[in-house]
Amino acid sequence: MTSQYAPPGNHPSSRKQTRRSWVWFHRFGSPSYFYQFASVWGPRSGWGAVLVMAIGFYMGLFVAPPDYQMGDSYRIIYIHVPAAWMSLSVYVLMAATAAVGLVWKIKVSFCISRACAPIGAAFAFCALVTGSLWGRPTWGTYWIWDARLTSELILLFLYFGYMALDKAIPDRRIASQAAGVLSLVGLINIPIIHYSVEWWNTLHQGSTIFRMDGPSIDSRMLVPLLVAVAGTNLYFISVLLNRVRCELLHSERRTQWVREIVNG
Amino acid sequence: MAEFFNMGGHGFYVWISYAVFFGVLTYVFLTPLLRHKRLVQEISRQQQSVRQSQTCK
Repeated sequence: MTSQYAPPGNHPSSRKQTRRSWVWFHRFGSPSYFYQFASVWGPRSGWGAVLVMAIGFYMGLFVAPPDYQMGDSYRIIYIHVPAAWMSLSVYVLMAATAAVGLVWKIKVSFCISRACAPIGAAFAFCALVTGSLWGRPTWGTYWIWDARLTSELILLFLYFGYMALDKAIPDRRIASQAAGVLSLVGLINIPIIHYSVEWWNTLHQGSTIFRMDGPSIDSRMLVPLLVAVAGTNLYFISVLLNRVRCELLHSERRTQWVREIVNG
Repeated sequence: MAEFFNMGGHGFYVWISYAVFFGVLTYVFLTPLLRHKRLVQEISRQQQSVRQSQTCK
């Protein structure tokens, strides 16, 4: 299976194309090429995620000092922040790949978009649940209808809406297009979530990392957080590639290359 | 060690959070792997039945 995959530079057809270096990118539009690519990099990034996340959470739970106000309950930050950030960036990727699919009619792009939805929903769910469990000891309540929490909940519902619409339409091509348009409309929610803590008075704290004057969090707490975020990104890449493999296998099941993979 | 699990009295919230996070992540990680396995079996079964029907004719 791996023998059919060749890194971009070594591909025979790329020798003619060296003058236009962006051409290698077009190969990712081929379902069979993307499948081979995902078969190699899915497991690799999965192992990378295990390693990096183990380091990040070890540092976060054992090495980082307790917070001067929240004590040890702040350690939820090492899962809450990666989950919340991923829920936003996965949505942007989902909408962007849907846009590429809509404009250039690329099947692989729609497959990536469709594969994003359940992962993003899982991250949004984790962000809401861990935030709620963090809110109880620090704010004294599990839930409050303030701007940040409500807009994040809407994000979760947007993911659900995307998945429901995609499933409800029998024709795969039309389903991808309809769900893609929905994801583009929902994109408006992303800046609302990000700036909600500035635009409205919320119980949720403001940004501590993406600030004009630099992060306001101690570096001994920041480093484990960034490692956890990197590990979560690797995890996402791995799951995304594994999901795209399934999408491609399913939608291309009547083609020759799928037959070869299944029999070989 | 007990102190570590206690998390300054907030152990319940911290550990439930981590359990939910890793539970959800594990589930999301395993589903496409299982689905891939099932898809390969399904497609190869379909092909076998197609081949059989062709040889019968």
